[in-house]
Amino acid sequence: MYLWKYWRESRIAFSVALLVIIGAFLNTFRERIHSAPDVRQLSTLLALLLYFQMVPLGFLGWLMGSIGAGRDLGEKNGSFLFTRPRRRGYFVWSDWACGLAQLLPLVMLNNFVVWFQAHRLLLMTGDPLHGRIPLTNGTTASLAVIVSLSCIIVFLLVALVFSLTYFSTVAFKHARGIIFAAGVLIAYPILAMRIQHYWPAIHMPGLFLQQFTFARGQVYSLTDHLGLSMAIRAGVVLLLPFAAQVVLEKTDI
Amino acid sequence: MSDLAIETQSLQKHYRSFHAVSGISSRGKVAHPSLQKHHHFLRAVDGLDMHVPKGSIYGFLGRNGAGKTTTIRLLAGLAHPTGGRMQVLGLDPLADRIPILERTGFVIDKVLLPSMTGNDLVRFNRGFFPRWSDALAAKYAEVLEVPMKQKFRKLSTGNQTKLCLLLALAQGAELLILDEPTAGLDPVVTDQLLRVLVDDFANEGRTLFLSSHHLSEVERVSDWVGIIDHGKLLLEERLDDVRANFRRVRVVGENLSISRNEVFKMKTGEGTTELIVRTNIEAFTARLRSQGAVVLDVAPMNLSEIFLEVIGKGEANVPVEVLA
Repeated sequence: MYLWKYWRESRIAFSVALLVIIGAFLNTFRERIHSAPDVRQLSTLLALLLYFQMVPLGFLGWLMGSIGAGRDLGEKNGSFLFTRPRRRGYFVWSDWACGLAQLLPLVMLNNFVVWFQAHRLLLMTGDPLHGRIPLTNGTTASLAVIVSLSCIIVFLLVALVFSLTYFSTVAFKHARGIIFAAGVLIAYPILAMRIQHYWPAIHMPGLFLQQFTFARGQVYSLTDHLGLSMAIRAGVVLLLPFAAQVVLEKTDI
Repeated sequence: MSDLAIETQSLQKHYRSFHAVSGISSRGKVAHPSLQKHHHFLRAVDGLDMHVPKGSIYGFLGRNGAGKTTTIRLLAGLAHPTGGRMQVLGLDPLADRIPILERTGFVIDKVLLPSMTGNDLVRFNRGFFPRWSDALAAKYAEVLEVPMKQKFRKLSTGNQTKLCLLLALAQGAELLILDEPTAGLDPVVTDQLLRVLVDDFANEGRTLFLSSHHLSEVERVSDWVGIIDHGKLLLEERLDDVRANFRRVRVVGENLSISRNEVFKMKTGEGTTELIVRTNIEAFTARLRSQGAVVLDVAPMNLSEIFLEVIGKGEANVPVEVLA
């Protein structure tokens, strides 16, 4: 029943996002490609498409992170919700799981649209490398692998934004936690840039996991140790609902 | 097995707050270098010893800020006590929160999920409580005339309160804990609610714990009363015993030997002494007369007068409900 509550509160955001992605897909499907692109530029075009989706999907994660127990505390119905016979952790993990369960298919669907478009372009070029895309370091990468990696990376980013926002709303006991989360998400890259400017030896991890390395504005290669970065990112994402649970259990309502 | 539905021993809830910052101008700017922050403890509940018998209707009385809601939040496991012990239905609200919540209905803030209708809220609640009854929910929706198809935020205060109560009643609880259930309600709705609570709930041998500062309502339905002030329980007794034992006595006499245990309060006026006594009145007045005192009158007291005397405001305030 509690999952149903989260679904009721998030279904409008989910449905709008779903309609936008389906609209984008139908538009892509109807669009005619008149001239084949240079196969060497395909990787850069693909990287742009993959990175571009992080902004709207991140925004959606931010929006959906504000739904749940934290917002209920802000709306003063915490005493009702938390006198239902469940542990407080149940509410946190239900919100978190239900939010991510909605975000995951949206991310997958969006990446499917990107794959579809890239695949069409690849076919237009004659697909000389049989489903693989050339990188400027002389190697090739499978389109399916690139999009799958992108799917995981985008989902991890969206999950990070969602989890941070969710944690903030619980910690602030108010939906205004989303403002705090937005502040952190904006301030962190700026801080990382400033630190790198003054102490070039220090590399703070970026919000976006870099799937590609670039050279002279073009995709050079796939990033090394991407699996490790993704595992660390997943760990951080998992830590946030744990932290929200701890905060909620210690909170007087 | 305990005969108490609720028991607390030296229960405490203190909030630490920083305040009384000296050296600050009226505009809020620091005006003096000797800026000092003092923290102090707000003792919301301060050594509360309470015993609520099973099957009773217990009126928990206190002024605003006396500690009623904090006590209820502690019993619900919503807040963590600073010290002391408590048991609800023989269980510890911190260690056994879930079984307590399955068997106890709480109505505290009277704010439900604002975008849900009554029917949605019934659907939402159903899955949480093993003894939930849709039939009871439908019955109380009809009896209390709750518009179940309207969103909670669009309901009137009275209907919001009724819906909160409906959900608590339909969960099949053994114990119902209500915080100011009639606050802000008109007399008709108040009457409706109290009838349902007493006739349908408490008469089946279940325990009703009701906090309020509306004394006439508590006097109407309760069989036990507890009076809390500044976080301490000042009086806990059967209402019949309270009514029977508290008397206002006016006497004329000098050098009277009166036991402190019997006299709640003594006020000496011009030639007469007014005593608020809490004892067997016949024996007490007989002892006064044996000392040569003239007992001018012995007046019974209603709950409102007793309440004011117990919390120490009997002289400063005229009990409104007496005037009414």
